[in-house]
Amino acid sequence: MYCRGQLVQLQHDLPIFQRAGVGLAAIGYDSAAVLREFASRKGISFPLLADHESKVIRAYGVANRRFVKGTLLNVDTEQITDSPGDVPVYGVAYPSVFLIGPRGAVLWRFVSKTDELRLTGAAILERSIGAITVVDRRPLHSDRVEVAVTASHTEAGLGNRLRIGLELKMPPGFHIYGPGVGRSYHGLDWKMDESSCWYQSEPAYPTPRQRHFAFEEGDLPVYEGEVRITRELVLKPVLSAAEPSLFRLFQSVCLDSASRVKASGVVAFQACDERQCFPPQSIPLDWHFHFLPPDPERAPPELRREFEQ
Amino acid sequence: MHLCREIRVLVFLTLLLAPVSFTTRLEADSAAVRTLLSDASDVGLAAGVPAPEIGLKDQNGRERDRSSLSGTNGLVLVFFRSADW
Repeated sequence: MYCRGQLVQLQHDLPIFQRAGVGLAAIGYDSAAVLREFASRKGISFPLLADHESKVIRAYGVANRRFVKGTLLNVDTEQITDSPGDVPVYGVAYPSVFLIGPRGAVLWRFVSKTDELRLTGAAILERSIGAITVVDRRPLHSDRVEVAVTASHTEAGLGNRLRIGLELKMPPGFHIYGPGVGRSYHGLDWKMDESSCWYQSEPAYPTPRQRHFAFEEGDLPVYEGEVRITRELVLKPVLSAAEPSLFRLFQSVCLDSASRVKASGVVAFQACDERQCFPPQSIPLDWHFHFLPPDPERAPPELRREFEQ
Repeated sequence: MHLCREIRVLVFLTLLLAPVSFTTRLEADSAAVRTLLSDASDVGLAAGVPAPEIGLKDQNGRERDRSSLSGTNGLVLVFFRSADW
């Protein structure tokens, strides 16, 4: 189910691959017939490649080690079973991503530690080539330092690894201190609230400039001009056949009446000019995403993979 | 009268506890989240090695190789579990 969501998500992000001049293709152990039916039902135009014998999956070293020959999986419970009605999963890939350079070498790779959390196209391009995608940008009220929140997407499904960002812009002659500056200074600090609805990664702060000040021994880390910080945000993968109430709880706790999820946090910093420092500020931050419900529709029964001895 | 109050208390407690139990069942500490989001570096080809050739049919039945899939700045290959289940 998370795979179908990821493939639809990648189709949504296809224009940013095109803008970056990077090709996009997805490989699974499904037959060409399953992929054809899925692509036509969901409007997938980028290549879905049928590695029915898992040759390429093995060549890239990403065949799931847990699924040995003859393994059947109950796809609702994710339990290995011996029921003939369940899905043969020998040769299934670990969810993973490789960037192959124009000269044919692997330049970047990422193998997911869980089956449920999947990188969005925007997250792949940011992490692999540093291309930051901003489709939503909202300025927040503040004085001296302009603050805006950004996001790579306006919609989010369970397990989609999105990128959210924070932009700070200072007038000429102003600076703020870098994270962990210490002493009596207040460094830049972006925290997300504790939540039952999402996970977040640590923020990726750009390296601050080391600057010497007449009033201080040694250098201090500062940002001047513009600073952009990003981090990952992912709605918790709460679909569980063993605990169906989790998804209902997610809906009641995390979604508002318009089916939106709100993520929130706070940024703290202290702005200074050449003469003085102003009182430290804390600005509440929030992001809003339309929730994309999970898609339960499987391939037609006649196309599904048959057990191979 | 008493029953009514008890029901109200029960409803209140349920409302109060639902998010709490939800939180405790889904909460993970930041170190666990860091691990969960990180790369399983012991699995799959490492960066720097030559990428194996592809040679597979796409959803339209066309045979595709790496050069037919790549853009000028390279190719992102996404391995997924299944578009069926």
